[in-house]
Amino acid sequence: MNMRQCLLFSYQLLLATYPPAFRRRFAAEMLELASSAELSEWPLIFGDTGLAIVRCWLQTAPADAAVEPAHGYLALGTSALPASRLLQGLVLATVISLSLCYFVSLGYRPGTDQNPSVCVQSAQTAVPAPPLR
Amino acid sequence: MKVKERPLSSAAVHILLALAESDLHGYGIMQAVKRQSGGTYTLGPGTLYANLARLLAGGLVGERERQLKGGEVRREYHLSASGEQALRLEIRRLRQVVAIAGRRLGQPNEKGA
Repeated sequence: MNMRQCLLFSYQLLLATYPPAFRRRFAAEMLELASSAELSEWPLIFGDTGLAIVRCWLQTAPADAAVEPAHGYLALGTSALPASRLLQGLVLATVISLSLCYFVSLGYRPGTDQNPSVCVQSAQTAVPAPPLR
Repeated sequence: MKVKERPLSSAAVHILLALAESDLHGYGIMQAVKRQSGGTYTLGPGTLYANLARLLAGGLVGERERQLKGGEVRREYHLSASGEQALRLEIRRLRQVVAIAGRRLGQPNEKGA
């Protein structure tokens, strides 16, 4: 396996991480495009595609809309928020809230003076600033 | 058809400008963008296809399959009527920005900008 084949194989693996709808629609074209690239262009190809994959996962609605039939029109400037995205958001928000509650219950006891906060300790031991001349 | 309500990204503008010249496939768009920007703007495949997906979804770009001599099929993209309208609106908006910049900063060659 030479260098180019190795890069193409790695790129194919990277393309596999796209959301399924986008991958089905564009991955073959992207691979074809990459196969005609010069070796010096590969850092740009990997970097750009890696960032685009993250963006694509964060905003899957437009990419999915691209593979829908013609009646699935989505104008630029509008936002379609399907129920699945709302559900994902709800689950994520719940997980974050529960995690925060858990960490707060472990490390923070409101109303107890046994463990004064670091800010209070540092205020008590702080060296007074020299007077200004 | 309502064309758009917010400015196009610079990548989208470059893609639409490339397609305003002729119908192109993905690699052709990349080369055209590089050429028309004098080599200062290079589109990677990730940015290109993410923008194409949005433009296709918005109806600003259309696609068709073309059969090559060897029987191979290649997908080509073209500028739609609403895409042309959106591009004209964007260019008008950019002209306004340049006009304001000209008034506030002076002409580019006056201060060596």
